[in-house]
Amino acid sequence: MSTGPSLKMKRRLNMVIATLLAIGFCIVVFNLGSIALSNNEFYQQKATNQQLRDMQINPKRGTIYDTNMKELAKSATVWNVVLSPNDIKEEDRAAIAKGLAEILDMDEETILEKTKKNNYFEYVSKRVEKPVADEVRAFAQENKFSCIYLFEDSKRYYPLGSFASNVIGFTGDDNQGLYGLEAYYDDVLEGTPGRIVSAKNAWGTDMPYRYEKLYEPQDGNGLVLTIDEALQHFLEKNLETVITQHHVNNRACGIIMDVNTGAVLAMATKGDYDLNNPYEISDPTVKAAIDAIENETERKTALSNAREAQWKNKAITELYEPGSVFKMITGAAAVEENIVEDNWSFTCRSMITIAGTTMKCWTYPRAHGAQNFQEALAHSCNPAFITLGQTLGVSTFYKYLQGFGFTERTGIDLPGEEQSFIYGQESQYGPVELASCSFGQSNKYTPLQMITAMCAVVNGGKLMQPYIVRQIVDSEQNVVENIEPQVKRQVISEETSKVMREALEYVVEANGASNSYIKGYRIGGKSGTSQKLDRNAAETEKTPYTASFAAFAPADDPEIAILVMVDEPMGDDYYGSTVASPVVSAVLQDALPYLGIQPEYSEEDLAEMEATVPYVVGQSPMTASSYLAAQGIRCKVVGEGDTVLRQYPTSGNVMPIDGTVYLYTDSTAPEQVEVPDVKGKSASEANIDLLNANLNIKIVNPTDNVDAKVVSQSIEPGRKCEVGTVVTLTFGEVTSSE
Amino acid sequence: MALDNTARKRTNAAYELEYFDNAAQQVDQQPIKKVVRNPQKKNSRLMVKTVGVLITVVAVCSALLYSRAVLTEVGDQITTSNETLEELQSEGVRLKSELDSKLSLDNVEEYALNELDLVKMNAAQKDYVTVPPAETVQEEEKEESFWDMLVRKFEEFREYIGF
Repeated sequence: MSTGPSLKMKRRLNMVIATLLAIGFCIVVFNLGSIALSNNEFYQQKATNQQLRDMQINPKRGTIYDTNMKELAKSATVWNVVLSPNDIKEEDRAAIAKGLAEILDMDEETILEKTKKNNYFEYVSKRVEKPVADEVRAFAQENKFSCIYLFEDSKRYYPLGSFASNVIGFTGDDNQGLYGLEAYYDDVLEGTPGRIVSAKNAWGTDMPYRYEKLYEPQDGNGLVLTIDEALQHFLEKNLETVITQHHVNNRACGIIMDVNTGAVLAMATKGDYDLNNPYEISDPTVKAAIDAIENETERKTALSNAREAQWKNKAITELYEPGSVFKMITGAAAVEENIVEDNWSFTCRSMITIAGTTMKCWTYPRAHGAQNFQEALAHSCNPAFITLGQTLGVSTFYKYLQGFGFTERTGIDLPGEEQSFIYGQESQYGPVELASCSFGQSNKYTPLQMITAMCAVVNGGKLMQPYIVRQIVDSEQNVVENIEPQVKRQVISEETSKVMREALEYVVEANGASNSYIKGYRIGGKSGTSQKLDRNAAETEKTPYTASFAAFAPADDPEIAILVMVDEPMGDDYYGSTVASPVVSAVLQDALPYLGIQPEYSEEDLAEMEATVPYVVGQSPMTASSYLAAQGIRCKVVGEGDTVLRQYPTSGNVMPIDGTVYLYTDSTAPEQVEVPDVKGKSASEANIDLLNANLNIKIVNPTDNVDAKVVSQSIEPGRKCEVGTVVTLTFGEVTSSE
Repeated sequence: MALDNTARKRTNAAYELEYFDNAAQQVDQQPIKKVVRNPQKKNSRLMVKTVGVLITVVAVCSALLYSRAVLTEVGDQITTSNETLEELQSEGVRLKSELDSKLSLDNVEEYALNELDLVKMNAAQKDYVTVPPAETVQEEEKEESFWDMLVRKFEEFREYIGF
């Protein structure tokens, strides 16, 4: 008799187990299929999130260069100092505050307050540089303060401070462009962030080389500007001078442009700001006024407005009435329409009546009399150009207004360009409106529009697209994109342009120094003075004017054009010829030789050249006299001695040939004379007065213009000085429009 | 009926007498000689092999671990060096900015004027020379003869073929 399980029973058991296994297997296979096939994306994502972590790598912002690859803006890594207050032990608080305050040059109390906050992340100082970051790190390590952290950040450096500040702009806290080129080309400069994707273990830390994939960041591309550092410097330096000299109320701006390509070689606005501290008000007067406001809200509003005002690029964001400068446009239109021909003539009677409205010439009650086109332009005769405008008619005038780009933005690659203010649509122009616009009143344009139009007048008639970025380069300075000059349209013919060049050159020659004449150079240009009709004397101490001057050189084959606009000069002078013209002259005197354009002097010019006084102390009077004579300088010997002991003027002084140097051969004290007042006098009168006082005369801006008068003298009238002292005179002539 | 020999064999449950029937046959069979190696030697070779394999495995694992460790260490060094490089590059940018700032045209001009007492060169310090107008020679245009034309064409052809 058997006692164990029978075969049948064993078979049955096997069947049951097999069935259970099969069922289990099917369930597992089904789940596997469900996870791997139907919900694979969901689980993949979960796995990725759990097993991998990614970290963004910030790209470097692109560099901005001037046209000669000088760096104007560049980014570098800096550090943010952060505290974790909740991790600070009570006994360490004071030491941390003291240590960090010393290193970061901050107030200890402020840092102590931060240590008491109830969080794990508190900024102490942002964007500290490496030496300071190293000190903080060393301080934390020495004292074993694990609550002090350093996080990397990026800082934008502007090595030249306020240089071209209104053009370059600046970046914000997140390295985003906020103004100027930084904003306009933000997508080019910012680059593309990279990523590191790496495996992490159960504790959340990296498993190096278990899995790591690096997506390299793409550093931002750089910009190569058309701006030339040297030309920009010349322009900024002289704008600073005019702001101070003429007590300018509402800033001044200037543009230098390549006549043939539209490239902006310099663009400056003064008062500007330091790009490294854009939120700091640079004008001390404005700053003091804001600090004096007691009301918190009002102070904040005033601060905000002051910041906006200093950030704005006056050359493209503000409008002005160009005044007589616009006459070149009316003149070009008239020449192109054959209204002005060789025998054209106009007789100025000091005023003109249009549709019952009388408009006076600036010389009223004097009249210019009969004049041809060149003379009318040189005289800036308002009735002449009103007549030309009337002859053109509204439709034709408006056509040239559009043709020269005055009815639309130029489209320069800078943000915030303002749209010009045109009096009205063509249909709204009556004869009076046309008359007013013909000599540059009523309509308002940006300085950029005006200089772009002037370039079209003198470069053969082509209206060029102004631009400020000529190349986009990568981080290795390889060229990514070239920006080529573009011709927008042909506005006038080459023949008309030639006539206008000659006419504008005549303006400078005829008016001399008051219109930026520089000996040895052929320069063309036009001054303009306009009353700001929308402002009145009640708002300011005096009636506000805008003084401007536009010029180009060389006149026979123009290469550069320059426009300077001075907004509300509040000094004694407010005319374009006396305020803006000297700025243009000074800039061109530096810029033209820099550009390789050397002066060419005629025999007459050479005869009027100046000489530098040589050093003759210690020589015998005879020898000194011969030496001076060789330089074209006369001398007067004072005393009976054999050796020259002193000389006046001293060596290095520049004086005209035929000036006199006084040589003292004994201890006779130099004679002191009182400097006479020669302001307002003509060249010959001033010369006589100064020579009679035994003083030497030097003229800054000589002119053949008989109407030119002395506008300033280097030594104030009434001051005592030694005989022979050189007194420098500046001449000018009043030119204005109403 | 005669019984089969087989059937006639005696069976006895107690004894398997059939075994003894074949015994005589079996005695005659020669034993098969089988050479059996020394079992002790066999064991030691096996041990050597095992130990060898173990050592190899340990060595390979150690080498793998060591290489990972070295890789990690070198990786760390590279990361540290890269960080240092970036820091120094940033410092370089900062220092260059400071240098550029000191060497700006404004500062240079101010230093030249105020510290070195230099003045800009003016026209009075230059010597000017009068350059006579360039002399030109004007040749009368002559009509080209047939021979001249041939010579010119030949020269052009020579220039073209680079001979």
